[in-house]
Amino acid sequence: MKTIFTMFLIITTTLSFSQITISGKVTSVNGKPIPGVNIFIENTYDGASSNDEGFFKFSTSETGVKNLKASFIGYKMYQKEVELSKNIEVQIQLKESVNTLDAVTITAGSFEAADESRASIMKPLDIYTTPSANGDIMAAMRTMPGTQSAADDGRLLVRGGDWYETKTYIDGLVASKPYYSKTPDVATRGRFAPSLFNGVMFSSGGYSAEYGQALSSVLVLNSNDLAETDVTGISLMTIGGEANKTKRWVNSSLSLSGGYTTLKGYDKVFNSSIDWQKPVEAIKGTAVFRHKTKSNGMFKAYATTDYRDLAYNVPTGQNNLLMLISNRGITGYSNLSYRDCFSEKSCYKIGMSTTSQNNRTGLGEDDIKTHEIIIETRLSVVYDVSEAVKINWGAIETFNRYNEDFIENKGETYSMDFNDHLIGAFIESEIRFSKNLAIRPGIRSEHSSVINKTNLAPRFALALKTGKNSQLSGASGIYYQTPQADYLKLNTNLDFEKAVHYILSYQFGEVSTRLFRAEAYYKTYNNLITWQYGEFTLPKNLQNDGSGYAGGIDIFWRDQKSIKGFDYWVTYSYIDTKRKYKNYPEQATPYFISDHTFSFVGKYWLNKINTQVGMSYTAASGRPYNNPNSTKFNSERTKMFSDLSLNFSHIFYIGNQYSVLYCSVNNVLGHDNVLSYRPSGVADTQGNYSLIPVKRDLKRMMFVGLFLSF
Amino acid sequence: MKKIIALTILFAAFTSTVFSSNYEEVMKTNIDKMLSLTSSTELIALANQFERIANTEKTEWLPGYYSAYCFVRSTFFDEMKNDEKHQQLDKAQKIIDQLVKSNKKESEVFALQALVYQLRITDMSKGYKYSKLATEAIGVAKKLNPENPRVYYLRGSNTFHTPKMFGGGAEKAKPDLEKASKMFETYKAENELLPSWGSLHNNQLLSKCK
Repeated sequence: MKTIFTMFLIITTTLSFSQITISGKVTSVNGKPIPGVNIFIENTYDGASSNDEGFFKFSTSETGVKNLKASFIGYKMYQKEVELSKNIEVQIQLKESVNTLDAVTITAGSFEAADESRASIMKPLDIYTTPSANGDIMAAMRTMPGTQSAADDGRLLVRGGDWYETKTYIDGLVASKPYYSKTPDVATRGRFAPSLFNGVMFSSGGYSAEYGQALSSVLVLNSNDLAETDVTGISLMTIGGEANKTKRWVNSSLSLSGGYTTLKGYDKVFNSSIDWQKPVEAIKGTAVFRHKTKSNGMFKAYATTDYRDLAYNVPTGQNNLLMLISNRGITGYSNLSYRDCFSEKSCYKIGMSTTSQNNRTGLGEDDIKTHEIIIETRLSVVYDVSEAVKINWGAIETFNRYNEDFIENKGETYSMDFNDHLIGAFIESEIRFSKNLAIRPGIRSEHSSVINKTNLAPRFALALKTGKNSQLSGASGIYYQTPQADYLKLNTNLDFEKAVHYILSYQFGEVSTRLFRAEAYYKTYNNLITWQYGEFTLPKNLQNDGSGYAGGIDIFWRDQKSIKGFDYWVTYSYIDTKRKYKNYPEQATPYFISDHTFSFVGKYWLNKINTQVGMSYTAASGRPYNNPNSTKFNSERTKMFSDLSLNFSHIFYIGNQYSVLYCSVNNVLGHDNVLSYRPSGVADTQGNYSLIPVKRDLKRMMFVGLFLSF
Repeated sequence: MKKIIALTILFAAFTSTVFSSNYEEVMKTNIDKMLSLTSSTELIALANQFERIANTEKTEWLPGYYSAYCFVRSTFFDEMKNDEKHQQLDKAQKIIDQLVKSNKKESEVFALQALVYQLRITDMSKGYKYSKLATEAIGVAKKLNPENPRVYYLRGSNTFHTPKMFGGGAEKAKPDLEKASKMFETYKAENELLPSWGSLHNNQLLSKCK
């Protein structure tokens, strides 16, 4: 009994009195001291923090072999076994972790609007506050370099590519009809409301293997998670009205909205250059549901449907004859997705998007009825192999059913259709050699059943940090796209169209202060579809016979710091491009290309009156058009285009929610730009073709909106 | 033999009580120290001390909580530069992430999370994202414990610092700050180790509302 008591005493005394001192210095690999590092004996309270010179010292009453650890954010955990029998001195070298927050990110070709990503150069809010955008994501992206201003089109035309070469994705799933139906001479706009998204990534080239079926560009929209609070909104606008209601539960939220748009008032008040018979009228309904599961997974469902109707006359160029163009259609889009994690290292996303469109377009006496269904299913997995290596792989299946009835002169009907199953898979890896160097090799393969062809598209990107706030990025890759429905309905004996991108980019600064980016690119196009006019003006002799190139420089500068309250960005793009495609007789610069494009967007917040004023200015050099009276194709140029738009937003309150009074004026200076010329199809008696000028619908457009929430 | 076993059990019980009272004592000492410190370096060192306690006392949430809070508190002193502020907040965030994972029901953890988000707003461009995130965290904190005065203080502070343009301002913030002020006066924590911060800054903000 006594001995046990003695033992007990000995143990307790050693516990409290034998002290061993541990001291040393903490440095980084290059010998610089690191202050604030936590050095400690594992599973004890004993330890210390390193001081400004990296030195530390502490004592412990522990004995035996223990683990000495040192931890600091941004560095790998240091660990060493020590024998605690006498005082110890250690030199600790911490290795930098490659995943630090200020590590290099691959930015070549991409323009992001996100809140915190280092690659981002815009904020989601910028889409609303850009005067020339009028709340359209696509129009806001057209203030980014590398895009064409083409005010008579309204779609994204990127680095020499035609509109269909840009694909839109929502939460990783394709949105096949991102624009309202485009009809001749009238610009269209994007279908999706910017308020649905908290991140927008616009890539003007060199994008990752995750995205396919786009020759020139992708627009990636990431939708919001749960809605924050219950809110009711009513919008009254000079173009119509909208109402929405959002309900938030603990782990779910539901938003419903409906709206009506009409341009009838504009047609009466303003002098439109378009001879409207039935100005645009549209109704739209949207539902958004979100649910967070117990395992922190996120289920998202989004459905929207719209009906739109319009009709107008266009001159045909023959004896003052007019042709009636009409368009009426119902479009539905739904997007279901679920994301969750298998483990801490591996997360997955599954989803399905469905687009269906019933469209009736009248061209004079003829009618074209189309019915399209596009269903995409997708699975993707991100796996962190180690701290430095991340693998992203996935598979997609896209079903496309196209059906068209061409009703000639209210009589004979010609039907054309096709079905396509596109199966694709990609794998891509992001490898960080250090926090200053990252590469992203990837490969994508697709098989299209309608043309019965398979492609293999390797991609590669790299980024090198050259200073605290500067980096160099490069990207290259091969891009394939299945021919458009307009061709496949006539001929399925075709191959993928192909493009190769090479991009080099330099970036300096930070988006919250000042940011500069310059990018040079070169692209080649091959296997573009060519054709000639045949019967009923339908294309014939469809072949993958076209080719072309595009090269240029894009410059971006944004400054939010120099003048307090003032935020502006300036972009300049130069492009040299020629291509042989469609019915071009030879390689020529397409009609939508301006060699030089300059744009400026500036915003100023007036604190005293709760109002933001904004201005955007775009200038673009003349675009080519084809004068059939000339011997050379697409050899003439329009005059320079310019536009000055202004807006203001005034904020006020109803209860706890804020409401906005918004007003914008486009083309304030009233420049009556001829955007392009459309040649008439038939020559007059002297054998000359007349040219029909295409102008913007409204010379000066004013928009007023009152957006109330409560 | 029986006696030895009995004694070992007794000894084990004794040491564990020593340790647990040691835990409370150490915590109390360090919390008092924290409230008296006005230097970032010392607060960071103390944060490390709390982290060491947290590494040992794996079932307790308070050591981790105070470690995160000391990192947060270190940004209040010595005119810390924005880059370093974010570094300290990164450290706090890492700990909070772990706390949320292992302890989903503690209102105070979400209140601290909201504070971290608010402090992230070091320039205008960060406001939109982080005030949104803070609002969400405050919502969770409120749901878990509507009696937590920090919920109303943080909500008021969020509104106070949000530009009028986005529905903020002193006028809007006043009701929440007033409510928090009253609650701070009457609020009694279950034990003295539980968080008590916020009332000083709350009153400062409230005085600016007049």
